Amino acid sequence: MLETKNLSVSYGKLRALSDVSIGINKGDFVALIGSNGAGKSTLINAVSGLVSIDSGSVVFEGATISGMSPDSIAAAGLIQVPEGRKLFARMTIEENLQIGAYLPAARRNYLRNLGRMFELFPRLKERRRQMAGSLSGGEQQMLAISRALMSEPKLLMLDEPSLGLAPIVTLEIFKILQELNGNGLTILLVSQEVLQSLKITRRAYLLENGHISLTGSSTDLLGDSRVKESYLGL
Amino acid sequence: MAPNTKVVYPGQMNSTLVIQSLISGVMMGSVYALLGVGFSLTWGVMKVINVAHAAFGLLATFMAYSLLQAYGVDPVASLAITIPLLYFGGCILYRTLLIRITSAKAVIVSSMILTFGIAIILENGMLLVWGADPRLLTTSYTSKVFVVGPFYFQYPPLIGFVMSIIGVMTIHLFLKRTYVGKAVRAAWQQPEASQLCGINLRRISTITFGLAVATSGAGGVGMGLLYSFEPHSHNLWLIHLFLVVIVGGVGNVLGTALAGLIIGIITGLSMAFLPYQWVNLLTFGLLMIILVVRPQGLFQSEV
Ligand SMILES: Nc1ncnc2c1ncn2[C@@H]1O[C@H](COP(=O)(O)OP(=O)(O)O)[C@@H](O)[C@H]1O
Ligand SMILES: [Mg+2]
Repeated sequence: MLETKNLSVSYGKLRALSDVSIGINKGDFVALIGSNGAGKSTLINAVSGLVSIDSGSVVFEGATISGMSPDSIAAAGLIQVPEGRKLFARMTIEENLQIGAYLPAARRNYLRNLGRMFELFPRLKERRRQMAGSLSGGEQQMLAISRALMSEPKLLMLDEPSLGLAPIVTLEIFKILQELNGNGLTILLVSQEVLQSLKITRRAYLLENGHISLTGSSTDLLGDSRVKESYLGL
Repeated sequence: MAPNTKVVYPGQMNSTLVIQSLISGVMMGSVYALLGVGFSLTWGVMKVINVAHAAFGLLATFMAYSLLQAYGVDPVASLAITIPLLYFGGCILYRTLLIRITSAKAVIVSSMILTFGIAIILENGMLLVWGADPRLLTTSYTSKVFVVGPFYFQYPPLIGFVMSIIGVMTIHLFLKRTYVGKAVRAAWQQPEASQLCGINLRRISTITFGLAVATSGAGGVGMGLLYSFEPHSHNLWLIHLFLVVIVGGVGNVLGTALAGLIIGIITGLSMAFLPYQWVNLLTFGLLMIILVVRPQGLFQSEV
């Protein structure tokens, strides 16, 4: 469904990604792990069209999307939940969800999807008229995920959704991601919670210094001695 | 910049005079507010200080003047032509020139330099077409008044006032209630995240800028109903725009409107009770105090 082919990205002189090739199949639940500064956000942002690539390509559902603008990539069904949530803080929860449904196809199903979001996250329903900026960290992440789901993604990429959250909230969010994947949504999850994310995903990529250094089933990575030592603290 | 008519009825009761000055002030201030909202919008959300804003407004004033002279078109009705023209002019200006500088680090400064050039071009264009003589928008209702008890309302400022309320509320409701307006707010709060929701930033910027320039037309006609104008008038208007927008808080539509009213009231009252040369001293003294005490303006950005 999604394929990056020998993707390289630089910020000025700094090379952030070198020849990164990953593949995600329809219905997959894939983890992308790696330490701080490894290039995980860069990879997701390159796929979303937010950072321009030096070489290589991104193919989504058979069409080359590298070089397209971020909004056209979103329109193709490739939706990102950005690191740090990036909510519209001075807009209400409901308005955030409306903007989530900005794409014409999603706008037609707005009410139905809104009902689903409020089922998934009842706390958002109670606070629908509050400013997004007034929510707690966990609620903000739930809103960020709902906003992305409102655009009816074919593939959902989440960048550090558990950052700064209490363990119990992280668990709650991961459970919901599992549920979404169970319902057929393809997910790419970037997380520092290496143990947790390897437990819930099927496949994983390990990104180190801008290179993919390890790939396989999540269970295999959980058992890998290098992963154990560097990322699980075992 | 003296108003066309006197504000003071000598020998009247003082409270009547105060209220009458308040009324005149509010009407005058509302027109500054109308001229200011678009200026505030591009500054607050796009970080573009469009110093040609008042010049665009003045262009609409001159067009209203010509339409009135040639075909007897009412200045307010002329907006049906000038507002769409300014909207498209603003869009084209954004797409051809401003878009090149919006990714620059110092957008505020470069936008001022760029639009200053545009203001000069517009000003000289107006000089060429209309000459340097001061003009008035003289209509059948220019000298009519409307009396309520001891107070009187002059028609032109009253029309300017109503136009301002409609204009400011339209922009406010556009931003708060319509889908595109919400997309404008989203785009300026979180440019990246808004793109991830499928919002085309270039389109939103074009709409924002076009709309802002379009509102200057209504403001310009409002000014033309109150004061005489000539091709340089926009410079003086611009100074008041800075005043209104800084007091109101950049990017804040209702704040800008309120600031217009506050400044109008202060100007109105001081014109009634102080020698004329003191009026600007007072208003701009106030601006300096506000800049020192509350540099972000009296009100927060609502975009
Ligand atoms: N906008 C940027 N400008 C310059 N360097 C950046 C930028 N974003 C990230 N980097 C650098 O690129 C590398 C990869 O960063 P990033 O993709 O954010 O890593 P991760 O998400 O895995 O923590 C880091 O060395 C980081 O400092
Ligand atoms: Mg990151």
